[in-house]
Amino acid sequence: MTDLEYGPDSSMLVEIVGDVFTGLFGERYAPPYLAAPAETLEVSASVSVSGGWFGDVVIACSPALALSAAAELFAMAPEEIAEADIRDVVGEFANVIGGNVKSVMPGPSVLSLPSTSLEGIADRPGEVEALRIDMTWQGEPLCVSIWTVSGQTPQEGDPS
Amino acid sequence: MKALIIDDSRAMRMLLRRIVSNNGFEVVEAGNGQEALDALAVGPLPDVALIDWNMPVMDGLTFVNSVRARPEYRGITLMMVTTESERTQIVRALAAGAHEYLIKPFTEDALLSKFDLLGLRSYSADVVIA
Repeated sequence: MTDLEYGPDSSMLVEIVGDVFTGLFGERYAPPYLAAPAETLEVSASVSVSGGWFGDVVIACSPALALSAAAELFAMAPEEIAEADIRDVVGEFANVIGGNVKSVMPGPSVLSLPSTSLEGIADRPGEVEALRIDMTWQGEPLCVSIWTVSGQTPQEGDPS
Repeated sequence: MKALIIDDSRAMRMLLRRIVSNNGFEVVEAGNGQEALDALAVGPLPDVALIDWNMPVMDGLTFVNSVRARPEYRGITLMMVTTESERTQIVRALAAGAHEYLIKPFTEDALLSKFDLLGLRSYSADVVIA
């Protein structure tokens, strides 16, 4: 179910996330699948889209998921993973998932660089959560949400 | 063969490094377009550059334009590796001088297929005529 008039629905967003995780981790791990929402997700990253559509794509996960993903991607033991590595990995999740969401939204648009937080999902005044999927990967929770600027209408045209 | 990997994500650079080094490439990394230009200035030149688009300091398109403006860099094959999938963006990059375009997320096979299209992987075959 989605409050988006255009762009992905839940099943497309699940597919996007699955493709991203498969691209990053190959066939070693099954991709994330839908699950019940988790109470707290302390690690988050987001990208903003502006142009034909204005909004944010936010990825949030448990610290354990972020640590596991970073250890796998950097081929390091979990105890060697630094905060910067965690931020790098979740930032790249947001970048690639966000870029793929952008591609099915009204355009043209530009994608921001990711911003990351280790203190959960930031408040988004003036925005509404239009679509959210809760998933699990390797037993740990992950949430992907699309936030839109309330009251906007999609515009086709030059984003600059 | 030598590859220059340009991406602000260290994780993405690690992923690309793993793939290209397993295919015989020596790898140099840069975190943005300016770092990549600095790396080119000290040489030796890579055979291929894998270029993210959205990066701080200098983005990938600006890097491509900078490289194409210099005749001494004309031998470098330029491949965008990016989330930017809008047709207008692809056209911009190719018009600027990128040789190939790969959209994230990608599989290892997709990346290597691009390398094959660009002639970056050579195969030798021993032919025995009996």
